[in-house]
Amino acid sequence: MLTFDRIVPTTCPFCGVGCQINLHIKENRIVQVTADFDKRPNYGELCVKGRFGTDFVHHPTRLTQPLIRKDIVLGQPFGKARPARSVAEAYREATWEEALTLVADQLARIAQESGGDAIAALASAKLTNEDNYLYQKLFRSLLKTNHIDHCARLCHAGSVVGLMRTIASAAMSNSIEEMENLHTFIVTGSNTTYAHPVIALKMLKAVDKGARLIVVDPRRIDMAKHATLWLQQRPGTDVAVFQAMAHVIVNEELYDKAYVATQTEGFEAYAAHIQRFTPEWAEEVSGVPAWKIREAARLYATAPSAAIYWGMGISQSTHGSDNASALVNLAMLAGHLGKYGGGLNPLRGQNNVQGCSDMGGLPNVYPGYQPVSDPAVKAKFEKLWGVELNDRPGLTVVEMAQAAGEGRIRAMYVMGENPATSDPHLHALYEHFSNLDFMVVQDIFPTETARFAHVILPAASWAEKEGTFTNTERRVQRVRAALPPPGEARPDLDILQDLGRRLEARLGVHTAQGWNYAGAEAVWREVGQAASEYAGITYQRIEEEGVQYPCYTEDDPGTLYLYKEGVPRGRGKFWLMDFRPPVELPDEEYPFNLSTGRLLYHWHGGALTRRSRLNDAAPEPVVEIHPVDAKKLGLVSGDLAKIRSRRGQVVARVRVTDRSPIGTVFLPMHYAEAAANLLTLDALDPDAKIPDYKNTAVAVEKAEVANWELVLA
Amino acid sequence: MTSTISLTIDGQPVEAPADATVLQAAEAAGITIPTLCHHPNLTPPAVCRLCVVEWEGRRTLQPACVTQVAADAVIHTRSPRVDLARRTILEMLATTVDLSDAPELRAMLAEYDAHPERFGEDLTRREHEVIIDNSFFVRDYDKCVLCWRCVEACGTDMEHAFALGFSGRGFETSIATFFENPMPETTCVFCGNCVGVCPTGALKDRRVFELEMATDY
Repeated sequence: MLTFDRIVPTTCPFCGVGCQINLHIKENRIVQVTADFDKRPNYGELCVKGRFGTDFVHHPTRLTQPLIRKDIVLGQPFGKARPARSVAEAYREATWEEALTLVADQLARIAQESGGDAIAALASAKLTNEDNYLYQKLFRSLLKTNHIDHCARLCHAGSVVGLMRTIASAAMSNSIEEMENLHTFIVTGSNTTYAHPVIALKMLKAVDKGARLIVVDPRRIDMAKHATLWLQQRPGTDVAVFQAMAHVIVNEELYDKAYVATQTEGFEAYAAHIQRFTPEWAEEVSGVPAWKIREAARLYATAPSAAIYWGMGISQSTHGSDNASALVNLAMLAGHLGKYGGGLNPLRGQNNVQGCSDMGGLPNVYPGYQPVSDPAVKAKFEKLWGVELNDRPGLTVVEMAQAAGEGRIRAMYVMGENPATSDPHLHALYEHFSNLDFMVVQDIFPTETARFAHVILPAASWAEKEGTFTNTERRVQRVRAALPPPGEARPDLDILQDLGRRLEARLGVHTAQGWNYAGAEAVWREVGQAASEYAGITYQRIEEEGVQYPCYTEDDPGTLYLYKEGVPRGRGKFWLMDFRPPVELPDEEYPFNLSTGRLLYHWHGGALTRRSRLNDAAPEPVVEIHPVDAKKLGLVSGDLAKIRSRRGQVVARVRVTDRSPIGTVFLPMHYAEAAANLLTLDALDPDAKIPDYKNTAVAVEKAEVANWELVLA
Repeated sequence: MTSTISLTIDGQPVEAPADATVLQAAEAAGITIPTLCHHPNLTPPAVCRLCVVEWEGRRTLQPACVTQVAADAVIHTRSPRVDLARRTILEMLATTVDLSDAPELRAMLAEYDAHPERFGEDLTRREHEVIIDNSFFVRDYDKCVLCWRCVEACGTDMEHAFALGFSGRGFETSIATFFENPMPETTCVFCGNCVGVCPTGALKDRRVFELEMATDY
C-alpha cells in the first residue's frame, strides 16, 4: 500500500462549485485526490476533473524561468508584440531581476508618455482573491488605469448586467445545499452535468425526491433526460420563450400579487408590454409548442418555491443581458426570490470567477462592486490606499483588444488568462495584439497568449500558493500550498509585490500599505477593509470550512440565500424588452448555426486539461452534427469536417448525434488546434459587452486532412 | 419533529430519535459498531453483516446499519454470539479476498481473533486479472468484498451514471459493467466517486496503482 508524505486539504481548481479536496503528496507530486464525505459543498463527491485532472501541475511544459524574447536587448528599443510559433524557439531564459526591471521600466515609461489609460490588464478568474485584489490595486493605485477586466466578461457579463439593472445584485441567490431539496427548478442554457458536475448531482437528487425540473435548452443535454418538461427552443430565441411564460403567468393571474405589489415596480407597464408575446407567437419564433410554454409557466409560478439556474447559453449572447432580465422578470412575477430554494442562480464557470469579480477585477468597480465613478467611493479608496485614483471606468476584454488594435492601448499585462483562445474572432485579436508596444504574460504554461508577449513570468500554480477562492454560492474557501513551485516560478502575490515596489520607485507614487505584505492572509485583511461584506471572514474562521459572504462581522454566520429582506435595489424593476434575433443568422452561403461550449473532460481554453491525463479521454476536436444534416452532407461519425465562417475555418472529427438540433453544429472551445473562436464573431451585447458564442453562421463540408498542430511548449 | 425514545445499548441508557438506526444511536452514545458495506453518504445495502448486534427478544442478530431503534430495546453490540458472527464473516472474507489494501479489516481480524487458516489451505480464492482499461482508475477484483458501495455511488446515491452492476451468481458474483464491457464503452463518466467509497483498494487511482507496481514503497 502506498503511503503519502502529506495530505493537504484545498479547493479544486476547476469549476465554480468549489469542491473541497485533499491532495495526497508523495515526493512533491500529487499522486491522488480524495474528498471528505462530511465537508461542504461537495460532501465527498467529485468529478473527473477534480479527482483525476490535477496532474497538469507536473506537466513538463511548466514555466520555470522568466523568459524574454530573444530579439530584446535591455536598454534598447524593440518591436511590437507578435506571435511566436513556439515559446521554446523565440524566447531566452532571464533572471527575475532582468525580467522585472524590463517590465517595470516599460510600464512606467508608457504610463509617463501616454498616461495610465494606455495600459490594460487582464485579471484572472483562476487565481486567488488575494492575487486579484493586489493586481487591480497595483494597476489602479500605481498606474492609474481602470482598464482591468477578466474572462467573466466573456461568460457571465450578460447575467451581471441583466441582474444589476433589475435587482442590483449579481451573485447566485441560493446555495448548493438547498439544491437537494428543491421543489421546482428551471435549468436553462447550462449543460450542468458537464460544466458543474457535482451541482448536477445535487439537482438529480432533488429530481429523485420528486422535484419538478424544467429544462429550456436547444440541445438534448443530459439534464433533459431527467426533466419533467424539456422546452427545446431554436438557438437564440430564449427571450421569446421567457416572455411568453411571463405572458401566461400574468394573464392566468398566477403571479404573486403581494410580492409584485410590495417588492417590485413597473408591473403595470410590463403587463401591458408583454401582451403581444403570446405563447402562439413564441411557438412560431422559438419552435417550442405553446402548450409546453403554458405548462412550464404554470409549473414554475404555482410552486411554493422555485429556483432558476443558468449558464452560458443565457449569458453568451448579444442579447445576454435581456435573456437574464427576462429570467428576473419571471422570478419577480412568481415571487420566487428571498426564499429557501427560490432565487436566481447564474452558475459560475471558473473556480474563482465570483471572487475575481468581487475583488474588483472589473473596469467599472472597486472590490465589493463599488463604482469607480462614484466620488464617495473614490474618496474612500484614495484614503485607504493613500494615492490619487482615476474615476473613468475602463474598457472591457474585447474592447481592450480592439483599442490595442487602434493604438489607444499600448501595453497589456495578462495574468493567468488566455484570450488567444477564449476571445471571439481570434484572427482579429491576433492583429490587435500584434500592435501592442509591450505585453507581459504571467502564467504557469506557455499559453497561446504567451507567444505574443515580450516577457513571460513563471507563476506558481494553485497547488503551490496560499489564498482563497470564492465559489459559485459565495463561499470563501482556502487554497493551500501543497508543493514548492517548480524551478524559479514564484507565487503571483510575490511577483506583484516585487513589481509594485519597482513601480513605486520609478513613478514616485507610494501607497499607504506598501508592497511588503506578510502573506496572503494580510492581503485578505485589507480586502475586509475595502469591502465590508467580507469583513467577517477571517482565515481562522475558514480553516475547516468556508463561509458564505455577505458576512459583515466575525459572529455573522454568513448568508445561505439572498434577498430575505428584499433585493438590494429596494424594489425589483420589471425590465421591458423586445425580442431580437441573433446578429448572424444562417443563410445560403453559411447554412448552419454554430454553437460552442464545454465538454466534461476539458476546461475552457484547455491550457490545463490538455496537459493532463484528462486529454486521454477527449484528445481530438470533435464537432457534433445532427443525423439529418450529416446525411445531407454525406458525413458519418469518424469523418473529418471543415467548418467555415466568415472569419475563419477549422477542421474537426465528426460525431453524428441528435444532441444538437437540426441545423446546429456544436464545437467545443477547448482545442487550440481547432479553436472554435477562429469562427465566432466579436459583435457585443450593447450593455454587457459580451460576445455571442452560441450563434455563428457556418458552412460545413467534408475534409480529407486534419491540419491539427498543437504546440504545448 | 420525531420524538425521542429511550433504550439500552451495552448496559448504557441511550436516548435516540425514534427513526434512528441502531448504528446511529450507538454512534451518538459513543459506542463503536464495526461496519464494512455501510457508508454515511450512501443507502445502506446491509449485505456485509459485520455490524450485526444482539437484540434481546429477537430471534436473529440484527444489522445495526438498517435496523430502526425501538423504545425500551436492550441491545448488545458485543456478545459471544455477535463476536462469533463477525469472526466467521471476517474469516470467510480473508480466505477468498485479498485484504492487503484494507488495513481496517485486517485490524478487525486481529480484534476478533479470526483464524482464516482454520478452513484449510487449498481453498479457491476469488481471482481476477487487474482491469486497466482507462487512464483514470484500475479495477482489481481480487480485492473486492462485494460491498456494493461502488454500485450505489455510480447509481442514484451519487453519480446517476449507472455504469456498474453485478455479474455472476454465488461465489462467482462480481461487480461488473454491462456485458463486462471496458469502462470507456459504458456510461461511465470517470468521476471516480466509486474509487472514493471503495473500502478495500479494489478500485484505485491508476497513478497510485502504477507507483505501487513500480516501486517497493
